[in-house]
Amino acid sequence: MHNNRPVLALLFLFTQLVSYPVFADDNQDISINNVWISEAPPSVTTLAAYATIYNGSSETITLASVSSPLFSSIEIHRSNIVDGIARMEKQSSLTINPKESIELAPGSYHLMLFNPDKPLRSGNSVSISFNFSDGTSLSVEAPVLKRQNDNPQHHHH
Amino acid sequence: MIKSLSSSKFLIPAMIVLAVLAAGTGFYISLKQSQQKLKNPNIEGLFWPSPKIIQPFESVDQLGQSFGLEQINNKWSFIFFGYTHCPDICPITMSVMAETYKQLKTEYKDLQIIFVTVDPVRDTTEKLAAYVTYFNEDFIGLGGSTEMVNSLTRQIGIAYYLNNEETSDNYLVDHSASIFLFDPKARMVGKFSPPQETEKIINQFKNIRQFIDAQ
Repeated sequence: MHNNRPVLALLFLFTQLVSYPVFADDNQDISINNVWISEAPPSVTTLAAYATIYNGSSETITLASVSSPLFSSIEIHRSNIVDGIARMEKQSSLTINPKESIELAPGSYHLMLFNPDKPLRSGNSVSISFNFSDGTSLSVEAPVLKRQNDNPQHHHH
Repeated sequence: MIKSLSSSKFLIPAMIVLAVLAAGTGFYISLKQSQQKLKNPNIEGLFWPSPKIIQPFESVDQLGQSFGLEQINNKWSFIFFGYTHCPDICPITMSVMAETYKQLKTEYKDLQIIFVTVDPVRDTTEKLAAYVTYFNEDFIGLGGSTEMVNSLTRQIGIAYYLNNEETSDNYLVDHSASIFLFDPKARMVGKFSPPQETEKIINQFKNIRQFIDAQ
């Protein structure tokens, strides 16, 4: 298990450096980067996905829904720890101001993916569609990656 | 005449007695405070003095075997709560604990890492086994009936709430994000508060353990 850590670290680095910009026909200004699905234990039927959504346009945009043929449904959630209690808050949509981005990241906003058709392992990838309220829909390939054990800045020792 | 004589006669000694009493009380209070400081050293997350002692409880581990107080005794146990349908916070905690355990077990051989489900209805023994062993094959997963889980959560003093259980199969459970530390005498001696980070947990654990071992 220890031997494949450098490989995983490299894989993680790769996803951090290489972005997956996707541009829709009618909106050149929204980009979705650093998309990944966290690999989960084999018995788990709810997975989490993360991404950075950038709104380069001069209008406010709203992420209304997220979909994928591989999952029965996808919801937008936010993890929140209040007074030591962890809870997930379902978000009906996400609003992104002009020239700003929103980060879906571990411990914060994330996508909750329900009931995959087949078990997903690191190395797989899944197509996910981000649907905005103006009708724009962006599809991105989300690789499945192992979750990092700890904060990246602690990895030197 | 007698009255005025006695008052002047006793006034000064009475004042002296009062002054001595006041000084003595002040000294006693400051002595007490310094003793308290020794009893309650400044270690983050330490429950001391009078840590809670866990009473007998029942649960079922990931192998289907009964797991109770006997299994907590004589080991240092990290106990935390979650559920396998929790896709974000729980796997983060599990991953941090996997790394923490990997680093600590080279130095300590008497550790056990215990995940207790707050969703025993959906988290069957088989699901728990697949879940905990994914993170580390030594990890223990506890479940059983709701009453069993409650016998543990009540003692540790944590709350959990089921959301939307009646309207959806995909209900969520709010739960404590802390990790609780038990010493080999089944005393709850410490707590690691979120956000969980390996380095922080290791340092805190070493400080608490060193203090408990010195008692």
